[in-house]
Amino acid sequence: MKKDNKYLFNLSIKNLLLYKTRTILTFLILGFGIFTYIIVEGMLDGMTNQTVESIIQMQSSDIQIYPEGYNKEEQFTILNLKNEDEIIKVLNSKDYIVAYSKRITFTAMLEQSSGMLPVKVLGINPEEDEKTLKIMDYLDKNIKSVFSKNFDSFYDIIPACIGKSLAKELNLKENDTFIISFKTKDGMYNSLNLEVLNIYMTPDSILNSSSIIIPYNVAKASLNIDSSTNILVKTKDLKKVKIWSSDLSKSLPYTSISNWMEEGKEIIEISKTKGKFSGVFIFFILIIAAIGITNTMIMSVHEKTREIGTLKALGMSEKEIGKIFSYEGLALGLSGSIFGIILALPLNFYLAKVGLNVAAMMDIDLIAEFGLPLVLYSSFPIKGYVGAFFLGVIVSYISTYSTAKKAAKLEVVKALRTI
Amino acid sequence: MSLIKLEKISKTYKMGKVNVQALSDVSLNIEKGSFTGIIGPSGSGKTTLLNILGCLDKQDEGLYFFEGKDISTLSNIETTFFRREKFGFIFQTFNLIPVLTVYENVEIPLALLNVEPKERKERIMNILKEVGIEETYNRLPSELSGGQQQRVAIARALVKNPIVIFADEPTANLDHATGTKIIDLMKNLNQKLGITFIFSTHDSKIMNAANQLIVLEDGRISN
Repeated sequence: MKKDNKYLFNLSIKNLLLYKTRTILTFLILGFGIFTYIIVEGMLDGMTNQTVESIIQMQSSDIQIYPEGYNKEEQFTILNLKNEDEIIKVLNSKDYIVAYSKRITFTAMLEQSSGMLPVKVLGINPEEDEKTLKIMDYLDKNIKSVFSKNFDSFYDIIPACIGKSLAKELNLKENDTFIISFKTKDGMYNSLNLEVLNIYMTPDSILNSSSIIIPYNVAKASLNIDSSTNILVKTKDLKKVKIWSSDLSKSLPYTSISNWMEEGKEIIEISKTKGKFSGVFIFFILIIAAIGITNTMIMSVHEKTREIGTLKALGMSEKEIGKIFSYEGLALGLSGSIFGIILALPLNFYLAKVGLNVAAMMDIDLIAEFGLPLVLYSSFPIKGYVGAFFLGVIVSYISTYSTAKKAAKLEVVKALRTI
Repeated sequence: MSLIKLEKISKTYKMGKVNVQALSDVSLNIEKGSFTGIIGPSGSGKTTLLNILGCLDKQDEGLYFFEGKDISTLSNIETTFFRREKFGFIFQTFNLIPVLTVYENVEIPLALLNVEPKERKERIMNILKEVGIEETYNRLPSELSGGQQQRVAIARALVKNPIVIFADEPTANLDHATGTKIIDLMKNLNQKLGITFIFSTHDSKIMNAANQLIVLEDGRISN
């Protein structure tokens, strides 16, 4: 800082400190605005991250292999993979693939009092599935031994795991039995007698509200198919799935390859909505901060009119007078932003490490319905911190600018006459 | 030698819808090193004349020569730098900056002239000693008496070694004894340093100390 600027800056700081209460109030308004912004940004960001993570861990894994011609919208059409053995060979040969799990996925109808309810049935092999997804963490520990038994889909009552929201809707409890009906690959009607082995609640609302998990072999036999409907693939690095899914597409020409980003399109849309919400939120915070700072600066100029006249009489230029007030605004902006950041850091750190206990604040059924995590973790929004800091300083400067300019333009004689 | 020469200076103010002729055809000469008083009844135009002489205000008509140079045509910023380098001001209500200490108040003109900090310190302490308040250098104006505050204002005006010091009723807010001391101080500095003092006043003591008097009446020079 130049010598004369240093002098002007010192004068600004002393001016700010003269009216401590007003300065502290403005400082607090700006600081709390920055604090709230960082915390909200971190929580929204954390929620998006957790939702994306939940999609990857609960539904899609990194890459999915579907039969050629697979269409997500045609939920009642049964398509299974051709040359499954060849596909497995290819998967085993790729060094970026950590694990894969074969699945049978189909839509069945479930009878309830108000009519038929479509549900997504997942035929899984727990041993394989736990290597690609984390659903097993939320299921009964006995599932591996129970699902590994040989069942006759025609005569036996089949053990099934059911989502908490769906179970509530159907008024089902553990050990209750129910029937699902569906069309086989050949278009024949079939049904299964299921018994609730376990009611699960995952961070994925779709799993909670519309999915039933049954043994892989039972699902395969019931649909009368000789291979899986889809295979989930876990890779070494989530960030490289685009390259690797493209590689798999080349290696497996008669399949349809998709990755978690395509499966999670809806979540990316939600993320955009979150961005808009953040934008509106920032706007309001900035308006409040700008009003606070402008008010402080107008009061400051009003109270110092005669001082401004004196300084101008002593030879201070308009530019230098403007600088005094700009420095006041900048000092408020800088200190308020830093205060907000210092205030936000420990809470943000706590929410990132320990998280927010959603289960303690919300009804468990609501959590299941919305697919919220039991503990919501904040992200550490570096961009939010940097953005909040610069926005705080810029808004302060802009709010001060016109007042500083007005102060600089005051006529010396008129200003000196002010009492 | 004439330091200041005014030729037919006029100034009109608008007060509401009425035009008030504050100065009319004022012509005068002020000698370098003089102790000049501008006197006259209230509303005679003393402050307006002092403001024009101090380049705080501009005349509507007429010419202003300073050291033989016409400064009527200077731009705003040129006038600011002119004041910064050549003029010092003492105000009736002292006009010290309340958040700054005595030292810092006196430092303002030197900071504006970018004087090196070491030299600043030396000059400030010397001038505070000269006006007799060196022990108050670290105090705020609010901690000083009226007389001490006016001494700070005098020190602030003097510290940059100006050519002229303009003082608007410098003793008006002081008691009799303090006012006398301030006049003596200004007169001493005028004689010792050769700095020209131009002041407006009602104070008979200060009139007696002046070696040049300009008497104003209804915006015109009457002597």
